[in-house]
Amino acid sequence: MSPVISWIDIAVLLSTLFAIVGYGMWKTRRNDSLDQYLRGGNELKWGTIGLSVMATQASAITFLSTPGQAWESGMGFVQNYLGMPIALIIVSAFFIPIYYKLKVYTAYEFLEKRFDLKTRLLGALLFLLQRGLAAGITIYAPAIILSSVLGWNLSGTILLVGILVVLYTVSGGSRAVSLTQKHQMAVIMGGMGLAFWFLLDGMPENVGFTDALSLGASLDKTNAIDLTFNLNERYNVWSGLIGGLFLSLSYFGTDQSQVARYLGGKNTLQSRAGMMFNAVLKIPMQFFILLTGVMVFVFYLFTPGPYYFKQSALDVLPPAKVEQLDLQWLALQEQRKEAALELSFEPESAEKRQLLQQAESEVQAFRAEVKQAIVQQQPDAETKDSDYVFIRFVLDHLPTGVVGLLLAVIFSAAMSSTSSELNALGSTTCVDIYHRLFKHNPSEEAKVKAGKFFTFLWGMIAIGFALYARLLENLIEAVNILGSVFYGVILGIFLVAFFLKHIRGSAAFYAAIVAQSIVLALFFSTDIGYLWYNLIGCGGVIGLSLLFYTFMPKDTQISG
Amino acid sequence: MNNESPEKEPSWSKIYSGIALLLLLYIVGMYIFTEVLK
Repeated sequence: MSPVISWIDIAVLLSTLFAIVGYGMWKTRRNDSLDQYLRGGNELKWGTIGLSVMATQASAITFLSTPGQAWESGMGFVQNYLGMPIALIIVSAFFIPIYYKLKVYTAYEFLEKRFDLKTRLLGALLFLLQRGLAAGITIYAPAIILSSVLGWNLSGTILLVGILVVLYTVSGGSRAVSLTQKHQMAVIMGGMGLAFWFLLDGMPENVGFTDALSLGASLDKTNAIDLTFNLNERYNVWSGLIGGLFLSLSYFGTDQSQVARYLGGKNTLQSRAGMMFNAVLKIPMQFFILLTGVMVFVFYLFTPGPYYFKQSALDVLPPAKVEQLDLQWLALQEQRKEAALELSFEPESAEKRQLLQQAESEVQAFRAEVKQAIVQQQPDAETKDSDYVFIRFVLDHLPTGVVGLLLAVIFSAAMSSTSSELNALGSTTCVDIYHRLFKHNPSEEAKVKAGKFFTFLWGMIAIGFALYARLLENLIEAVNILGSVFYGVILGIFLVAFFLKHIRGSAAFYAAIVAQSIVLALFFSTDIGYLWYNLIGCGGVIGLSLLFYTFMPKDTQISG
Repeated sequence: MNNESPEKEPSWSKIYSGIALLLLLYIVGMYIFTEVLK
């Protein structure tokens, strides 16, 4: 279990990354107009748009955490994506035609055309605040995991990803983002397919794919769908359909990092087809990634592995304690392996099934003991190790060369989502703030220069934030939750704009301010699950807009 | 002379209905997957 990877893997990793970045930069070396820089000259076809939308959503954490999530608690997470196809249909039917008709660069530009300047600025600022902080974490989160397991320098890993992304995103703009994402997705899907194949190949001879599924099921890992309606359950069909619908509608309809992906299309037909591509493929893709996690779990029933996957955290334990845990683990692991093998020979036996369940519950109790021992030594230690499971499997069990490819998968995913974020942050700052408020009629050359400058500036902010994020561990979780705190209100503003045609700017604007204050008050004073803020924020804006429209004097509603 | 003909729009309502049906199939399929393996 050496933490060092071979030079072949490093060569595969770097050549894959540089080839994609080089290709993106070369293909988009000329950007004569802002339209070309921010919308890629409206040349993209549905396949590129579809892959680009998919790559923007799939960050490195998707490929590190999602298999780990299935390894730990099964496949229920797939239900979070059930509302997505419906949201994509709504975006395709209502949002895309209007964005195209108004020829906007950003989603917030539409808000001024529909309402007024202050509502546009509010939408843009909420987006910049939330996405600006998130961009740093998109780089930091995978870098901390990779640097820990590979023994690489954290700052070096952040700089490698950050500088490469800034290079092609600043130089080539939106088209470079889309073109590189197409190739990044090819690397991602190819790499994940290979990992799955090696997982099945690594099972004992008598354990085929269906046997592995049945073993995973006996330990409750294949629980993809839960029909019970329970507000306290994290994942079930209803929270996935309702909560997922609102979250996806906000993300795909109003978040500029996604809006920019489909506004680069040749026409509405190509953009809509790109969205439908995702409506069809996203759920199977998430299902496949989670299934990979189940296979990793079954693989480790038969193959010796660590009892705690974030191995650097074990350094805080005294050597004698580690030695004692190692011995305990050897016995527990052997016992579970025997039970799994016996069940694989007699899959119908209830007794063998119970034996395996018993062995697994002993393993879980042992893992809880390990985590407790870590916390005793270091009270503020983060004991969640599921994010490290998949990368540990890759490093320990995949052949040389394939390890490099799988690392390229994770780096590509980090770069693809970061590039969309930087491009969107740059566009929004340039179009909605700088040009709108300070420079009304600059030349095309000056516009492109400003676009490049703001993209570069956000790149530096993201890298800077990632470099210092380790000092702000608690802030990271807060930033993730912050997304949901603002998303609902932004969606509410857009839904009022699209569907409540009689409501004017001021009613929507003040409704958004009040709704956001209510959401923030609830956030700081209650324990409501954060997904519900999407509903509360959105419903609040719609309800209050109607209320304000009824009671506000009509002349104050028109002016901005 | 412009030889490019505008792209013909497909019937989006049929495509959206198809996607909604596919979503239902995904849910039923994954439900069967969950229950059969239980």
